[in-house]
Amino acid sequence: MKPTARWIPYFLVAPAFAIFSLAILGPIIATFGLSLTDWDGFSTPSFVGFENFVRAFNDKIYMNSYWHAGIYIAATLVLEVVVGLLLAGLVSSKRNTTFYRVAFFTPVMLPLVVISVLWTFLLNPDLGILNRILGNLGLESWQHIWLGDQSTALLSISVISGWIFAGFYMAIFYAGFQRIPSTIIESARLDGASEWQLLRGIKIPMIKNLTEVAILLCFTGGIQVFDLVYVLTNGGPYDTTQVPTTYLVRVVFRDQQMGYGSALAVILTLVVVGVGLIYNKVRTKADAVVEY
Amino acid sequence: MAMYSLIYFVPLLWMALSALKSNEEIALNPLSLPTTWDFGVFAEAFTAGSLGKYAINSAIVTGTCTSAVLLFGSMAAFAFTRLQFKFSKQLMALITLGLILPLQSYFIAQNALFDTLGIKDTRMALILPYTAMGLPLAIWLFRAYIQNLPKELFEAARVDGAGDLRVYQSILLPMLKPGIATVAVFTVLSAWNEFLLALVYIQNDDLKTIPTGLLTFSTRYSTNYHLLFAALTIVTVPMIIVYVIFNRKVIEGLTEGAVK
Amino acid sequence: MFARKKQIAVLAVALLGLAIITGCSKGDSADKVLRIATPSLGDKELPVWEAAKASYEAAHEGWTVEFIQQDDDLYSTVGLPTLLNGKNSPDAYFEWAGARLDQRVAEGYAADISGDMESSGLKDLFNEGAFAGYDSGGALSMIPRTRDVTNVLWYNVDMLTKYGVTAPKTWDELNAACAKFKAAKINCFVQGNKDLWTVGNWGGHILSRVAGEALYAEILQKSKPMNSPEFVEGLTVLADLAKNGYVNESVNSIADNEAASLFFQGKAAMHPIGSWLIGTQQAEAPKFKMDFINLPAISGGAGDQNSIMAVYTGYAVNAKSSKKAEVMEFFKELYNAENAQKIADSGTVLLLKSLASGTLDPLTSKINALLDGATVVVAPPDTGFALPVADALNAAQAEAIGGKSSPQAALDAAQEKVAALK
Repeated sequence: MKPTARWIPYFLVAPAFAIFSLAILGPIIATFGLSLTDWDGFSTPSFVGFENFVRAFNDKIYMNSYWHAGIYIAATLVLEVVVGLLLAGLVSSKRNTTFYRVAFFTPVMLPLVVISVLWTFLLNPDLGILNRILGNLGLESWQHIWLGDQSTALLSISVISGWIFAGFYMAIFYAGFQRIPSTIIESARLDGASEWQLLRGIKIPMIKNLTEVAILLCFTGGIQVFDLVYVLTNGGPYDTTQVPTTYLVRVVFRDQQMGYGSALAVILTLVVVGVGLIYNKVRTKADAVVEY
Repeated sequence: MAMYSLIYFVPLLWMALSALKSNEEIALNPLSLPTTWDFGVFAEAFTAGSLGKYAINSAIVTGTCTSAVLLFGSMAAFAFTRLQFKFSKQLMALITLGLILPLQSYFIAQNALFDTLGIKDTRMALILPYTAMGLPLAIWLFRAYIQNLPKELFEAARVDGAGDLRVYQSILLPMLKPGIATVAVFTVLSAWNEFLLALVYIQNDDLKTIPTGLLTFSTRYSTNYHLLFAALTIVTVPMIIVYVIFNRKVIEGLTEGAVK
Repeated sequence: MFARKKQIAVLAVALLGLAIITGCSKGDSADKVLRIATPSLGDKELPVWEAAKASYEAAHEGWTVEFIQQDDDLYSTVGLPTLLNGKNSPDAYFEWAGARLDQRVAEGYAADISGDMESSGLKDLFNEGAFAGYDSGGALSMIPRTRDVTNVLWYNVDMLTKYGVTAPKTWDELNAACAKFKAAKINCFVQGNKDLWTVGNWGGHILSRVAGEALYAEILQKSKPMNSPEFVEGLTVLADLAKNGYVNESVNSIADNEAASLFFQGKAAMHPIGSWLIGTQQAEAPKFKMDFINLPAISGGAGDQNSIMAVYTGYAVNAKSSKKAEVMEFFKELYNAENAQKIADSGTVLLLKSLASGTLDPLTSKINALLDGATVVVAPPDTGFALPVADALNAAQAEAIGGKSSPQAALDAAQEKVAALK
């Protein structure tokens, strides 16, 4: 529709756009600009061209942080998306779903700080429950310093993340399953399909789109992970759980290198956006090919 | 199945029960039930941790930014969906950018900006970014809802001589109620639990929100376990209660957001 | 019509928002607010400051005193520089003497306050000799607060008696003692190195003993490389403790306060940490009996084997502040006899005359005696020297004690990091 007065649409859009530009758009452009400088946050920035980017690619800790993020993403794909899918399947096959949906979803709602502090204690090498139980069961050799041992720290973080977010993906998939016409499901049941066959043969394929979105979400969420890692290990031990964002925060807020940090941020942004775009392209191509 | 859901609850339940024990008990007998049920620990944790202060800060920040997102988001969505105007496509594209670009791509410069504006260590330093972060999704969701509303409704109102702002206020808003609820839930959840910005923008303990306030509390009292768990429980229980009451809306809000 | 009203309302909200944004920027510093920045004071000491603030404000009409407290870790990294460079930078702020203070002086943030101290009479409150170590390039740049011994070996008195161990004076005696504890399946040492500075200090002291204080300082000032053979030798001494099973396995994953708790719970014989453990012990485990020894002598070490690792803390006055006189007045309030005693009771002993006659607990007196008798004082890596260099060294020490890398490899990596610094 044409607006009643020319200025009205702009007036309606203005506040949102003003805040958005001030807090997000402007800073994004500024970050790209800052990435080409050396700046400590107070004195005048000095232009250094692509030096920061060269440094980033030589920075072992930074390069490794992507590797760690990759491991985290792989682990959470299984622990969150796959488990979520299975849980959704299980829950949707029951009558009384509310209890389960509430139970599994609760951790998603809590501040990550609460969960991190709780699990830090649960995994405490001397006083924590996990090692205690293992000891009681006679499995002393399985006891570890979960968050302090470089071989278990990253996986521990992933498991905790799985505990939290499996419920989230379960909810998404469950909502997806609910949208499948019940006639299809009923007729399959009549044909004698078991729950598992239902899940594999009908439910999952019918929410293919949703699954693809979920995978993308898991990826983008995983590569940007901060809260959990920061509180649980803050990159330790020996920088073996350093992920891009925690390292970025350290470079900027501890070492005060705004220029270098901006370069790191730019690289991260390009990775996230790049993967997202490529993924979508591949998806739509693949969808165009698939026939039902 | 039931076993699995039990596993989910056990850590939280254990946390609440452990709060009632003494520190020695927790260290020696972590798996047992409390022998002394010391409910006073909750009051102690509340005051020692100034949890009330953090809760109020969280409430103010979350409340303000959610109101802003709802108001400005619905206004913008209305304009984008139902009104034709120049640059509408471009502006919408920029806002969509906000959906894809991660926090890391702008928070460094945002930090410098807030420093210059002098608003760091004030609540505005959180309200502004939270609002900005919530707007793109809100606008998208509202757009979807508005698109589902019958065109005729708007055209009829226009024929009746109503100005656009009138249409916005008297027709759109009432019909958008379910959408408002969903966006509100989503915004509240994101803002309430936000951690990174709260961590780097606010150092003044009096202004900290719950996530950072809890972190400070946990590092200070890291060995006073029962106090720590009591504080965590105090923060967790209301959230669980709110969630149980609003659970349908919450899940809807989060999943809608994710799907879009 | 209604629309018009709505327009106005929304416009008003927008303007209000703008006003809030701009209004939230604080006023300029020519106001009557005295700003003092410090790491968290803790709930024992804060009330004393509040009391001093109250009496200052009562005596000085129209003035308010503002305390800006931050987490220790934040304060010592970006917190303080951000405050100093921002609007309303503090008029006085907590600092550690050494490289950090020198940098503040160089940047123009620390004024020479010898004149102000004299004229205000604040100087008279202090002990003779309190000012040694507080000058930066000849000028007095800080109002003294404490001299902290940063690293001594605290030990569990009862445990040593039980196993027939006397407090070791040499490194060989230390190894023998630890072997006894190991045989009894007790950790000789418990340390919490999650934040890297605890082993950083402990190891740093060992390094200075082995390599000599001069070389230690040169390396930390980047004049010599991190992986100099003397440092490798020193780091090996530290790493060997862990290799022999004398240090808790969780050393790099628990924080300093956790380690202290474990020490108080009798889970280890010794705990290498600073003099502030006294305050912690009084608060957490009043019945726990502990004592300390300075780091034992390492035979063949190039440094003075009686050296102590200590740090001087105090309050620098911002050279850019116009309220220097007011700062002096406030500290006269804070440091008066009554408040000083209360602060001492909370575990922090200021270098004031009024406390000299008061009763100090035996451990604190012993620490003071150690400080007074010391001829060679070594600075901790992260307060005496530039932070990025200290970080590199501390990371290397963590790796060595955790068994992740050999001392040589760890120091090589540290040198790589240092070389890459501007």
